[in-house]
Amino acid sequence: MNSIRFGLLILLLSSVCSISGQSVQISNIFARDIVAEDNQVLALNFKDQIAGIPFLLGWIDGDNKQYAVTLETSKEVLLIQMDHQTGWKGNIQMVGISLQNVSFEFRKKNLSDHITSFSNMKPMTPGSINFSHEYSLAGHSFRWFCLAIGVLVMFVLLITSKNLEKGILIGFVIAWIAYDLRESKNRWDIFSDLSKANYEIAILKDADDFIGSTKEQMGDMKWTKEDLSGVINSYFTYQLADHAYVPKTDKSWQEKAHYVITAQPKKRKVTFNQGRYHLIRRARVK
Amino acid sequence: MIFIIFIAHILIDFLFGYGLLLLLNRKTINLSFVAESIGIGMFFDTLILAILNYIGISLNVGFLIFSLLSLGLMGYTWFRIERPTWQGELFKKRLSILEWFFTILIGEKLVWNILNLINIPTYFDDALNHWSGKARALAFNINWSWDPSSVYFLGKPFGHVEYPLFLNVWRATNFNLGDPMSHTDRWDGLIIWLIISIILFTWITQLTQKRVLGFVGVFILSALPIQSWHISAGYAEIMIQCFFLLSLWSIYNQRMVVAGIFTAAMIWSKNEGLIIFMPLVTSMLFLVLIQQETKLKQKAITFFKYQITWLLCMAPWLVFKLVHGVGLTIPGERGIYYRERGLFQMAKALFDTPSSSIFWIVMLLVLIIGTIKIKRSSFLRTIVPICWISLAMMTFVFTCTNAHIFLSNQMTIHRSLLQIAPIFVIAFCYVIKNFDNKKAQV
Repeated sequence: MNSIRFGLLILLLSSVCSISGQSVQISNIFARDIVAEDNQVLALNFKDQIAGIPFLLGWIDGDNKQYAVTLETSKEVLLIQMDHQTGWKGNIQMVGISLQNVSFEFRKKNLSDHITSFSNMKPMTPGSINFSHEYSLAGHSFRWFCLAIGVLVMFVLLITSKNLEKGILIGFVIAWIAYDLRESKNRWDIFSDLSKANYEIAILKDADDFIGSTKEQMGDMKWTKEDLSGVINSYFTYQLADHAYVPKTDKSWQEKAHYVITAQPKKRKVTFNQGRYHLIRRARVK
Repeated sequence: MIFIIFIAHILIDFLFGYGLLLLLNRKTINLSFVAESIGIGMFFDTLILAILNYIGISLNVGFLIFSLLSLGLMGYTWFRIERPTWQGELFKKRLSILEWFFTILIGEKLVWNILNLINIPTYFDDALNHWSGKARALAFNINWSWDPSSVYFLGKPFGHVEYPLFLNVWRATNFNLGDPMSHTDRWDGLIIWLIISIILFTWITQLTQKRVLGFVGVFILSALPIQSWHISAGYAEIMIQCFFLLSLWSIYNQRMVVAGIFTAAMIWSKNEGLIIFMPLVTSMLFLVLIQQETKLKQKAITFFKYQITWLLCMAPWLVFKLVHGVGLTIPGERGIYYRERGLFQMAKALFDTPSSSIFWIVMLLVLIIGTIKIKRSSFLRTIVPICWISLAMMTFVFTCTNAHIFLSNQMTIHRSLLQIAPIFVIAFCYVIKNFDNKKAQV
């Protein structure tokens, strides 16, 4: 029965989830038949893995419903507040992730965990430009603490100096500085993390190595791409804008594109490959 | 090398803006004048180069022509027009400890973004596609065409053809003059942020007569969680934010032709410039005009002066779009109707997400106070309605049009709100300063 569920988890999650153009399988099932509890965290230790690699964490609840979240590896122990996750309630049939060689621990969140999860770096993702990370303290958003500080300062100033205007201004500015300090810390943490990696963004590393060699291979010939998605898709066109590109919207692309860049070579002969990316010379175009 | 080219590019744009502003009767120059000059120069630089490129002149030759034009304009104003005087009274007094404190907080963002621009490659999707991706296609002239029948029409494989070309042309010029493969293509965002900061600082200081509030205002805006990312991300949202602010600033100062130019620059930056922000600036102008005790004819002339300026400046692009059947907005599900749970989602985006933190809660609170006290000054009667209209317009767009998808998935709602944030900061500082005044100063 377990193997059927396991297979189902892999099949369904891998068919719907894609990170950086790659299908991802939840192949590491590390817990079975556990009970979801309040204030429960999952501590993941990635050992020697590079920080910033996206992975999936998935689980099946007692009603056979499946859930998954996309996360990224980190240098520190990654604490995931499980009771905040959708579908984390009652009996959990199994929990797994898409990475190997990861140690894990389910536990109640303690004071040290609260401080760690508040101060840990929230990584830069393609979504950083659209929305910010939440900083939580004792299970509550840090911004509400800031607001509370601001309101407190406002009332103190209102009582002591009878000056509401000054109270609102100073209260808000203090709250805003507190929030900004946390944001700034994160930005500098990200910068420091990237500087240690020689400013290479983990999910672009393979692509960068691949593009460098591909340019030499392709010369003046035309290229197209397939099975790449998200930021990687855009990154290839951006980096290879100096080479004639044949979009698939061009009806005669089959006659024009000498090369295909793909993450799914299938049975085709690969001219060159680096990590997840493959360059395929199209025989039909001379 | 690319950095020297970048500085030279900005300088050429500044000279053009400087000359044009003097031709438009400016008698004094100050920090905001410098910021406006760069903004105007960047706009005409990219517009003229786009037109020249369309008729077959390369970007490098086009930039040479524009540089000669800038120097010519500068030379003409230098010898033919009365020299302007420098007004630097904003910094006559030494900075107080509090002002230094806010300068350090703002400076932190400046330093982080400079390091980010130097070291971290272009990473975010829209920058890779619509802005820098298309800019590279234009610079290399391989995956780019002005012919609507081509698959490369306006760099189509890289991004939406509906998007205007301000950033594409500006970055393509830098690529062509310097190292085309360098990733220092997002430096424009830093310049634009400096322009925003200077205008915000000057406007708030003038309105409140408190320089420290000018620093506070710049800090409040810069500390918005996603604002820092936008300074160096290479997106166009910060351009809209800048030119919207500059348009309103120019109307406030009764400079209608300049306001028209900045509105055109806003339209030339991203589609929202025409669809959302031009009506907002027009509303501001309308609010200013109805409060003036001038004759109706004079009001009409002022109104049309603004409208004709932006329309004339943008005519080449709008005609080009019309002739080649390029839409005003990106294609999507059409139809204007209320999307289910739209208002709830909008309220959540404003008040309950880390992306704006507590910013909108406080801004809305102070705006309500400003609304209660709206009769106290003509400035309140202008800025308070414009804040409400801009918020209503955003709410309408995200709850009743196909943009609702970007509210649901939070893809653009927060960066769209970023565009109207500066006017709320101005309203906040003004209301707070004049809280107890029975009659406010302006």
